[in-house]
Amino acid sequence: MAFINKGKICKFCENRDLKIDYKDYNSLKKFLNSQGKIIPRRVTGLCTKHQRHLVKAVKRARNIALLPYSYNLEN
Amino acid sequence: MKQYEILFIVHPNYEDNRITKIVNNVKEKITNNGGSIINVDEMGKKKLAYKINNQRYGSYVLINFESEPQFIAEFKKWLKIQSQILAKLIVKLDNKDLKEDNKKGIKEEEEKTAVSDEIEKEEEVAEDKKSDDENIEEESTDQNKEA
Repeated sequence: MAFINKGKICKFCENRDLKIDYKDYNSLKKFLNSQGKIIPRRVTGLCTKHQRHLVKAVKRARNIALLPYSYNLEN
Repeated sequence: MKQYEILFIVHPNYEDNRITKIVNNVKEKITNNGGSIINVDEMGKKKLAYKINNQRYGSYVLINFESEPQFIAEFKKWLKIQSQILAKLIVKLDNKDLKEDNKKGIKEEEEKTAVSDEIEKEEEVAEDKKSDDENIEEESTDQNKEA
């Protein structure tokens, strides 16, 4: 689900209507790799601010079992 | 008074009428302690990303409420004791979020009806989701290879 942005323009700065919300776990999945780790800003191309919000949202979603801490645990 | 948002998971054995009882208990707890409820949204039964108390499924309920900050610590303790509630997450809403919500308040109401329809569909599809999850994992591994 890797979201690779080579143009280096932050997706959330470009489109202000996009919101980062921990309840919207399906769109957060784009920023996780196959293990369920958060993909670094170097790859996603997000700005500092939005990557920070994203990380917070992913961690909240993990806490409430919307996203897994790791995809490998049960396999 | 500050605005908060609580998302909690109800044990899968509790359905329909029994869920509303639990939700009403939580609502009463808030209102009895000087808070007020803004919005309640039952998000329906979903598969958990990992097992909690050996349960694979749970019903998510979202409540927006207003309360004094001192009440939150007590509220968390109370929720922990409730055996029907598997997990909870309380988030304080920033001023930024609230401003945006007010602007889009009318739009959201329209969307919510659409979202609730979607959730009903999701429940029907829930059983097929297992296979979907596997597909997603396969896709991601493929993309990693490309990278």
